[in-house]
Amino acid sequence: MRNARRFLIAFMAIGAVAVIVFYAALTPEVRAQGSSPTPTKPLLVSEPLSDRIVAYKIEAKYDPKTRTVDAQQTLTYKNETGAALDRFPFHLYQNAFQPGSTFMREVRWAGGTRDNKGSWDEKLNASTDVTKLEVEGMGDLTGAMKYIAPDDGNPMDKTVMEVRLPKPVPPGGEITFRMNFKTKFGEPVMRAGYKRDYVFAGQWFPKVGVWWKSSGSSPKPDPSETKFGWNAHQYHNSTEYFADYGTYDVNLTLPENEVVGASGVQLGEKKNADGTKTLTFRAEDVHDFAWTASPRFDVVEDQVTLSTGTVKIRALIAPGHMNSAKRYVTAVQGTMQKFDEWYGPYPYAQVTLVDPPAGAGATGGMEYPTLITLGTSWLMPKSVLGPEMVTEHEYGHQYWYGMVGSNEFEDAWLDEGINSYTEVKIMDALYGRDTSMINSRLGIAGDREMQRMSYSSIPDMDPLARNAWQYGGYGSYGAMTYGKTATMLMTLEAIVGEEPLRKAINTYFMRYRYKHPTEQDFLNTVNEVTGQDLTWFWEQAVYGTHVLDYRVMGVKSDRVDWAKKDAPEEKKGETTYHSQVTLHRKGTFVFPVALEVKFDNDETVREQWDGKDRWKRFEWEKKAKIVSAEIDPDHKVLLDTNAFNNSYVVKPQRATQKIMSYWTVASQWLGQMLSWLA
Amino acid sequence: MSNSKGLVSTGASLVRRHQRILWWVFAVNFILALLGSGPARTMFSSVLDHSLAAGDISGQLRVARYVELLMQPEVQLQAGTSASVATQIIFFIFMLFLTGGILVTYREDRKLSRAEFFENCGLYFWRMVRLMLISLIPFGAILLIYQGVRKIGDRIAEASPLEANEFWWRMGAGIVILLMLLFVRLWFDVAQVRAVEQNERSMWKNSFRALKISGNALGALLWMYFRISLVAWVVLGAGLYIWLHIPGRMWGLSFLLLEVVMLVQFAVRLWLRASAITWYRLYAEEHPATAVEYTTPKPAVLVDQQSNPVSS
Repeated sequence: MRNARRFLIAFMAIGAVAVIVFYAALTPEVRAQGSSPTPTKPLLVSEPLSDRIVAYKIEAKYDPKTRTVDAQQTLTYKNETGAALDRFPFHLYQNAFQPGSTFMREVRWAGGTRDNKGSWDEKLNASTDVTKLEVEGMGDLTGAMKYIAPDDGNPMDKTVMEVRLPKPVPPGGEITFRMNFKTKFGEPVMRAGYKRDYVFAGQWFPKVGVWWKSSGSSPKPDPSETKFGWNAHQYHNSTEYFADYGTYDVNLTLPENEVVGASGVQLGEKKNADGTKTLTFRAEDVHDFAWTASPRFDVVEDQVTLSTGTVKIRALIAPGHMNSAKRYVTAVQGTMQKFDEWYGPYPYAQVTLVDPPAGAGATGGMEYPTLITLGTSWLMPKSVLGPEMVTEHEYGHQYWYGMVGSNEFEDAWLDEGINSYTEVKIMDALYGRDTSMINSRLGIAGDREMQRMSYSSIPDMDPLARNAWQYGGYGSYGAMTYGKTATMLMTLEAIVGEEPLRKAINTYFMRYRYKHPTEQDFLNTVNEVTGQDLTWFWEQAVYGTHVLDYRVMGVKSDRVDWAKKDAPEEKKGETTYHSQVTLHRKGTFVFPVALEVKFDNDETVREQWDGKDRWKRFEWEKKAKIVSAEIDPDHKVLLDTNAFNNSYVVKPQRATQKIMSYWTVASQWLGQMLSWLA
Repeated sequence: MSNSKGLVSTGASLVRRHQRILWWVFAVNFILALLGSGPARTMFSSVLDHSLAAGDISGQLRVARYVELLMQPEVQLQAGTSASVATQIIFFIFMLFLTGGILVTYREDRKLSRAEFFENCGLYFWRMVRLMLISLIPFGAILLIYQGVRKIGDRIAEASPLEANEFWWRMGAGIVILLMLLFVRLWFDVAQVRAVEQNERSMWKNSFRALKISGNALGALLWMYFRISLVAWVVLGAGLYIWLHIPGRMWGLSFLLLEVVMLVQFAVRLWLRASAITWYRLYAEEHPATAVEYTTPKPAVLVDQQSNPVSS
């Protein structure tokens, strides 16, 4: 009995120490909630930045009990298309989260949403229903609405609604739609939804399509055959969004205890008699508006000074995540300064960071104009720079998606890919080239390597130039649009140089901000700014599925006098060798190859090969033997899918012994664990 | 009920005095691990031995390069792993086989001849196999409990915005499950000891009897096992802590350190066995089979008692 008590006491003491140690380790560094002045207008500049094709005014009331928004929306659309418009498509994205939708079909076929549910749960159901539609001067057109499915004809899909007008809107004219709609959120499948008392309202209102080229971009468009029309795709498993620039005036009514973040800036707050409050937001020169609310958010505020002025940073932090708040804020400050320095100005007065709570990760890692969602966990170690990376990436989308409004349905690589490239450059600059993703005693990893790994996992399924929903699978979509584009642009630095490429991307941003560029616009800009015709590269890397893989096929140093019977004994520095290195183009991608050969007299030789033939042999006659031969000695050609066959070193390396030492220990450990059953 | 401090030190002394067993167990485990790693060594060698990129692994580990290595067509992890798993299953059977010899050595506390040792190994092998199979029932039950713990953890995660709540639930439940596992282990250690001490042949009966004995002395036994196991945990924790501070390029030193940790794990397992048999011989309510002979009245005594009934 005495022993049992002692056992209990010891057990409890150890438990108590463990609890104290864990809590001490997890004490948040940031508890103080800073503040900065609230901006009174959405822009740091006084002039409109875009054509402002659309003007949305939304009166919305959110009921957290039913997770439903009841709203009235007035949309004024300026017809600057040059054509008379007699029909208008509207995106109703929340309708994707219904069992029969094209989105969910694709999830079932290909897998790969942020929260890939194995079976359908009613909690996932979401919807946006337009209950009334009037057009100024044309009357009630509710009966003229119908769902369309331009991509796959799926009659169950309700993510695009079209309304035909009794009379067209002439070029240069305006039209005003008045809609009543109700959006019900489900638990998050992707990007929007509720979890407990948290809600993220992304793509929550009927959003008009874009009059743009209607032919799509796959596989390679002929500009002379481009047709223009409404570009309003259904919501797919692997697609994001596309919309026109304009203004948003949103009055949001919800319970007083809710802490709210939204696109743009908050201009007012009014308390209502029924225990609710109405918040007024305005956003200008953006193409979307998102908001979030939770009574449990902690607010951390800070600011950053850029070339355009001081930008307010407002971070909404979920319970238990305060230990990541400082990491988010520091990351976004560094990122904003680098973007301002390298790529162009950020003209908005505020950026809002949203940290989703546990279980709502599907709403994290997403971008909306002036508002980004992030992701962390309670036990996120400092050595894993996930929070920093996601902050950098989503802020980067303020440029590649936000201000440069490329079509995310058709040219996903222009937003995700260019953004992944700039992510690598900025993460390198802020956290070190080799340590920007993992920086621990156990190992290190740089963001560039991770992007390359993503690409090399599926390098040849699809070209970059493909509609996002038509990739071979969700994995290929990710590997191409993120990984391959970043890797391709890093490889391009080897041809045009890092600084010229940065200048080209800066030019692309300045030239196409608040516009809807095509992939050809990007490629032409790079050609123009770098002063090189890179068609040969784009043909393979953007329009093709070519795989780049060169290898050192053979290395040999042979005595010149090998056949002599009375040849002197082999002696370093005196014996002459005939040395050969043979290179092999294993892949289909043709790329110039640099070769570095080291000899045992410390001499280093560099050779060039245009890489066109299937193989190439280099030969030397020297009083030295080859020590090693290496392709791409500066490690710039990251598109090469296999780094291990890029070199041959005569002396065996010790990596196998290291791996096998750990392999042996792991194997012994397995035996040791099994022996506890014996 | 018992002086567990003395038991623990007596057990440690037994392991030290018969450390030959420990070294043999460790050596066999090591050799089997080396043999099992052959296919993996071949496949990694083919990629790494003549590539400069191997430097990204032999020095400070570049995680992405290691992942790229695993993606090489020459590297078939499943094939490499199968050989290692197979050799360690052989080791498990080997340990099961040795159990009888080890327990008799600790019971006798003398150096058995090789023939004696292996004779006892063979004598008790099938009993140990049967006991191991029976032990899968309580171990399986604990696995079911673990599944329940996981499900509750998922529900807590669903209901709470604080990941900490789920974490502490899993931590707390995990420790309780570890203690349950420790109890099942000591229960079947007692059953193994009893099988040797009592020369028991019915393993079902033996298991139930061992459960009763272990249950009656639960506090003492669990306290003893807990303290000895703690040594393994502390050494493992300290070893991992030191390992984290060894530079990646000094993998030889890391290997030596991890081998020491491994040796301690084996020593702790033998220490538990030695302590269990010592406890059983001193405190279990039943007497060893060898003592039964002495309690059997000798014919001469019977004659004496019959001739002199008063003396009874």
